[in-house]
Amino acid sequence: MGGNYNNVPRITPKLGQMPNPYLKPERVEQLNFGFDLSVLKGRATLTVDVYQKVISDMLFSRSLNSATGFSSTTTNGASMLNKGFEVALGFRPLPQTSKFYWNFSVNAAVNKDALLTLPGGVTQIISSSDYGPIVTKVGRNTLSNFLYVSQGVYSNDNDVPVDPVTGLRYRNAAGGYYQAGDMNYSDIDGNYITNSRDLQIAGNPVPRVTGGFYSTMTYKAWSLTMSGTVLMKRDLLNNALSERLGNLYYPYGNKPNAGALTLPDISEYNYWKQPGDKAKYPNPLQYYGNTDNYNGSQTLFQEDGSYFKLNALTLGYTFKKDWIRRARMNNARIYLTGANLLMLSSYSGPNPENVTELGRDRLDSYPVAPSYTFGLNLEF
Amino acid sequence: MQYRIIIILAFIIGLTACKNLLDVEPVDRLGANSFWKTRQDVESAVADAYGFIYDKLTYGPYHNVNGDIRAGEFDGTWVVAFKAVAENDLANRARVSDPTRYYVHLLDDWYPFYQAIAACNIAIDRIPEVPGISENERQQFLAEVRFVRAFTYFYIVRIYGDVPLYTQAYDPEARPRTKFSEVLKFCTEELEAVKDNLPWQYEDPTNWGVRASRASALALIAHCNMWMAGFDAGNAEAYNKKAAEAALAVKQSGYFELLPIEDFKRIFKGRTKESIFEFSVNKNYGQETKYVSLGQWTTHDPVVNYGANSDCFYEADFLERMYPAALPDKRRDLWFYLPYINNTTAMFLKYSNVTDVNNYLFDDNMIIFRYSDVLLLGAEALANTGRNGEAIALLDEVRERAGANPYNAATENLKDAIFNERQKELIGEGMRWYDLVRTGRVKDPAQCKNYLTEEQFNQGAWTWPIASKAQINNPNIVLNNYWIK
Repeated sequence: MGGNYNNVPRITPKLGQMPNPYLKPERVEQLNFGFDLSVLKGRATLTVDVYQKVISDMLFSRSLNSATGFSSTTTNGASMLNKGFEVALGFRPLPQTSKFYWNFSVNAAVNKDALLTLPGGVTQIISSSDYGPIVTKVGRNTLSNFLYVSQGVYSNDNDVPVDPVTGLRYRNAAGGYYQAGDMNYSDIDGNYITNSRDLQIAGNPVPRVTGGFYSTMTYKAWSLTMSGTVLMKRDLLNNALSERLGNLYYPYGNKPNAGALTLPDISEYNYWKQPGDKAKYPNPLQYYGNTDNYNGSQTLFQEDGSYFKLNALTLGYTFKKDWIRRARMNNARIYLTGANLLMLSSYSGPNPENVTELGRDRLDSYPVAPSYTFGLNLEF
Repeated sequence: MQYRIIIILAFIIGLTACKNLLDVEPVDRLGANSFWKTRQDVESAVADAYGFIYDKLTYGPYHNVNGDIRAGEFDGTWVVAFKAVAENDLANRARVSDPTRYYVHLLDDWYPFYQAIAACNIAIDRIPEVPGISENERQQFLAEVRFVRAFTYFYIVRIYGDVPLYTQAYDPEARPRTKFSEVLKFCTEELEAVKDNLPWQYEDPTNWGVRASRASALALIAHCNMWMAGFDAGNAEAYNKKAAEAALAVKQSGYFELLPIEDFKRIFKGRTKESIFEFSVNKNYGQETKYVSLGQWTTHDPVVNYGANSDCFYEADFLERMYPAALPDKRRDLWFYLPYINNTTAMFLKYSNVTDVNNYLFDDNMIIFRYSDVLLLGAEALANTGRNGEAIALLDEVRERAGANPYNAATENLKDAIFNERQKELIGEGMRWYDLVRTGRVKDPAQCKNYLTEEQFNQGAWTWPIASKAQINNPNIVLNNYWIK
């Protein structure tokens, strides 16, 4: 950058990343306790690993305020704690002499993290992500959803509180006054206005329990393998739903900066229709209001993202040795594999696995399709 | 045979150059390790310090918007942003940003000023270690950059009031706003420390006024002190005294003079003996301004090809008050066309160095301080400390050049006469609003159309609103309360 000033060439410092000459490597202190067990001549194994890890002088990109002239700097200011355990179990239920071979293993990891410090003595950092803010707060898990607390739908106009000082009804920062059929957002700071001060830490988008299983069975020439994953304790935001419901506010499809809109089948949802209704979802037909009922960052759309998934199942058949030799081959095998076969979850969206790293289910994410493969292995 | 020799030669050259070839520097960017090595690097960094402020002040008409238009006597006709500013309706973003191309609404972002300050802080940190420059020159470069930093702080204090004070290179702290009196104290201390390292005047006239001289530093000292004098009645005497000394020092140096008023186009083209500090705008160096200079809105045929009407004009009752028709004043005669007509057929011609009459491009320098400003500020400070005789001498020097009648003690109040003389002399130069604010005259409806009540003034209605993004990553920043409703 630069050009000239008064006919003298200018050379401008790059005021983006502020250098930090005091940067140090991260320090990790880790305590591990491991345990291995093998019984019944190796037919059952158990591995347990318990750990506690403290990362101090953690490298952390700190955003800077505009008066510093810079936008960010890398510091050592953060530190965090990770603790948890990992368990792996293996079985061979049948004796070695059996013609039927079965190997089965399960593993699980439970992790808990806590943020100990942030740079500059800061206690929390609110950062924006797609569909609303994420908060990083000292003393808690490192990432938390920061949401408006939804407390149901106003059944009648009289249910909306009125500020006794000003005589004005509860409203939002954009000036939308709530009425029957609108979402009742908790007014945390009690100012009768829903604004960013009413956001609350409401969930953790990082899964706390992850695990998997693997099984192989063989009987004579046949083999069957399967693998799967289990994930528990993760809070997802069903923003695919919030956005589609929100699209109902544009009955003419005139949403700014959007193409064709996808709309939900509203009859499937328990929404407010008339005064007195006790509904879960606010009135989708009040599209002329600006009460922002389908705001994507509210607890209404936060759900548990636990699931059990069968990742892959393979059935194989290996041809008999003498038959193979006659055909002058070393090996021949046919198999059928199915991937993404089964998903068990109470999550209301299409797929609790197909979400962003921050646990947001985006409307524009590409769906995961089941796939089937038929294969033939020939070795000459 | 000849071929072979060439090939062998090329090979040898290639071999010897190989070592240097391996550490190629990117052409468009210089790492900190390869910069700060030569005198030329320092020159470029110093030019850049001026350039940052220049960039901001020529991005929109900020200098005049907050310096002149805000006082209310400049009629913006259809320019909604100017009208909003003239009514102190600054929280109304829809009006202030209309039309968007003038970028008036972006004055609420102080980031560009702080980029300039960050660049100065880095230069001040690095210049002491650059090899190959004489000690005198090094001190002069350092003094220039510290002047620019002080000037930037002075400039933003007048706009926003209290501002965060960053004085070290690479300071990541989230600093709160420092009281503006403290900031100005820092500025005057800086300037006192470096002013003697600056030359009174540069040998090369292309640097006159454009690069900071000792007179620039003294003028800034005078302005800082006069600002503090206005807000701190208890210590006003001491501040006035310092301001008077600084102004008198400029006069006694003998380097500066008032040009004949008929030469005003030359004065505002800049780089004259009247220039104290200004930003260079020069078509020959590829710089012209659009939507920056007041001339943009106050001229029409034949100055620019814009028909018989301009966009804006100074209201007639204000001009009649400033330049009564019965009294001689060449400034009125030369700077105005039809001054008392009160419509857009009038013209304000102070800025009329037009480089392109069809596209309305100007290359008047952006005058910040000029000699007559220093004289009148000195006169004001002297009058405030009871040195009336000296004050009158300075006042009359400016009046004489303008072809106006000398001061008459029988009919005029000295302090009012000096204040009004500043308004007459410096009209459209980004001074009026700040003069009104620091003297408290902004509270007098008879003197200022966009006046503030005592209560508004105390709540900070004289400041410009600060964009809330100043609070991002800095919870210690409190915005200007008057503008938060």
